[in-house]
Amino acid sequence: MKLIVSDIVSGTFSNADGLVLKLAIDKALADNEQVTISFEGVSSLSSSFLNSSIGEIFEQYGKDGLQSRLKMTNYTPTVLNIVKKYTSTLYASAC
Amino acid sequence: MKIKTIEVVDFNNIGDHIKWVFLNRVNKLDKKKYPGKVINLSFSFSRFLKPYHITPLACLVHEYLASGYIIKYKNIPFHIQEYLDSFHFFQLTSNPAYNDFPYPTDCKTLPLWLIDKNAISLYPGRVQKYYEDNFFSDRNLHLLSGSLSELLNNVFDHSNSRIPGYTFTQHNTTNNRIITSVCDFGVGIPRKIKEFKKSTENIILSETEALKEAIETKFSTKSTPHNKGRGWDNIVSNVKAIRAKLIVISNSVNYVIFPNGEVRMYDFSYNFHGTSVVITIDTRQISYKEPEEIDEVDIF
Repeated sequence: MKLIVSDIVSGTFSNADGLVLKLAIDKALADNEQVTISFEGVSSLSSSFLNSSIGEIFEQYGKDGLQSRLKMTNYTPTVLNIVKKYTSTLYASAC
Repeated sequence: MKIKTIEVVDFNNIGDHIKWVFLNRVNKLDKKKYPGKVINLSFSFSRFLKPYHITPLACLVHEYLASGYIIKYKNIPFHIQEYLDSFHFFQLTSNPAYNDFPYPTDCKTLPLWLIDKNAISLYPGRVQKYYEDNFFSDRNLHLLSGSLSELLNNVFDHSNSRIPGYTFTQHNTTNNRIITSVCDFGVGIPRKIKEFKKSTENIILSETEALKEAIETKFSTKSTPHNKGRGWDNIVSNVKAIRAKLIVISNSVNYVIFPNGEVRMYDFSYNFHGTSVVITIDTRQISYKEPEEIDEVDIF
């Protein structure tokens, strides 16, 4: 299943928008083995948005529960870097 | 009845500016000398106001309005009136709750925005789109919007201010600079961290040490459950990536990152009760837009 971020939230900067995305990811993961998040048209993400979306999902499912299940597409190199840097800090704090 | 007149001055020296803010706050007003609930705001000494003058001024005006004062604007030179009108300064300060403004009359300046939940969601993206559409169609201002989003979230989550903060962004085409300023009259970063460290670890920090810890380590006071202390790390990375200049003024400390990456800290003799952040970007350093990759990669 594909979730297009810009269809779900109006911005990628606030906790409130992050929480809306988190709920959408959570629902999609409940119904599907694999979920792909499209960052089409997104050029930046705040740490608050990531904390409330990807971070919350990580806390809920854990790394093992998400491996190969959550993917991203239509991302710029910058967005990929932001997400990867963020997930690496999640791993670090989980250890 | 004697009325207090605050002279708005376009300070170039940060220390003088901090002192001016300190001395003109509501709590410093001599209510015996000035018993009326009126403040004159005079612009007779203003020549070249910049975003870092505007945001503390907006907070100051908002603070007086919230305390029941009427603000009377005096001695406004024509060019200053024109400048203030271009970003709806008077509209915002006369009605602080209203935040949805049309585009300004000057395409180099975005309206002054009050920092509320709506602003956090919309303003960073709007700044990016506005300047990309008007000046940098092939460039990507994501580092500006990313930094602004972190700063606005910080104000909202951590400042504990009784009044909202303000943000303002302006493009100077003559020297190729975008200046963005975010200001709040909250508790201040050093004071907040000092109190947190003392209460949780019984560690006593100086204000300088506290601000350094906030900016240079992934430190969080966990003001909200979502906070994980990554905001300043992102801001500093963004600033360094485009060789921008970052100035943070909070309580009695000034933290500066220069375009060459050098970091300096200064102490003030006056306390800026709150936080003022200014980022100055050389627009020639802004990177080009990036194509999107369509392949799928694992997030975890």
